[in-house]
Amino acid sequence: MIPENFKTLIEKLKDKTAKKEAIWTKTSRDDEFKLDLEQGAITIDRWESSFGQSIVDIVVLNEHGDNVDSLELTISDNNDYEYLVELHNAAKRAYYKVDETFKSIFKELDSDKTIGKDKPSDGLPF
Amino acid sequence: MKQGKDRILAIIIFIGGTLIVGGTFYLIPDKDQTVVNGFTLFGTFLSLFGLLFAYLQIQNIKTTSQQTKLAIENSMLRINQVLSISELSKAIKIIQEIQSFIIQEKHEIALMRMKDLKFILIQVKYNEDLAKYTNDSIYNKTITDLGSDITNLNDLIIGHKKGLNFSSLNKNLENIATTITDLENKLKYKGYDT
Repeated sequence: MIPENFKTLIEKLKDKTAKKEAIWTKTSRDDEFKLDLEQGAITIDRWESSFGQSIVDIVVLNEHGDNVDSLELTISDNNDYEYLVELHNAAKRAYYKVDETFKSIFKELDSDKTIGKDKPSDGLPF
Repeated sequence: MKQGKDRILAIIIFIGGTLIVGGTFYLIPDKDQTVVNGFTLFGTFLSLFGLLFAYLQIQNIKTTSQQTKLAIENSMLRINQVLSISELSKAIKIIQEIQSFIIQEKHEIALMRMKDLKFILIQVKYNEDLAKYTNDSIYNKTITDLGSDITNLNDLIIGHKKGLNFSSLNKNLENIATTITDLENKLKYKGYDT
């Protein structure tokens, strides 16, 4: 069961991220993303435990970088886990600019011009 | 300088006053030019001169006291600057140590030094001389990035999470080193009259 304050936080983060109004960055972990706020930050991470169990967590950091509150859910938490994974996916898509990249690709594909680029010539005749 | 000027002013007033008193005594009718009247005139002048002299002395003491206060404040500022520069230099040294411990895979010691580094970064944030440089989102991000790296390294050590991108951690440390070097140079060379 997700505590009410975390539920509100996740909902608001999802909303902001969907509206492209949240700038997520990457941390020193490969699948962890961080959102810097004026007073603190929020990180969201997803990994597999040594027993192969999928885990997702969200951590609230204060302005001194201390972990003030966190929520960790495993795949056995079913709906709650999926709910948090949705935010993780949204953060990941926002960081890698997935939607923007697709949009740009479609735009290029829909245009009349020839797409793709030649290999740069090395000046040799063979 | 000011004291010298006051002394000259006092001498000028004394000579001028003496001449005026002498002139006044000379101009009064002959019958009134008695020794008693002479002493009265000169005594009155001396009393007024004494009051003026006392006033100038008080002003002098006041100025000296203000200058002393200012000098103490400047010294305190300078001491704080020196202490801050020393703390920042220490932080840069700590970053080099952390990077070295990470290369040697001494993660526990690296974690301890990262905590020391975070302590210094927070301390610097509350330094009034650096407030205009540290009260911004970039500096706050530096602290939270380090906080996040500390948590991640700790999770790796205790086995809670697997995998840590040390290259990214090193990049974050380099960013902190750049920020600190920048602050150190601002303290050393910018905007302070000593």
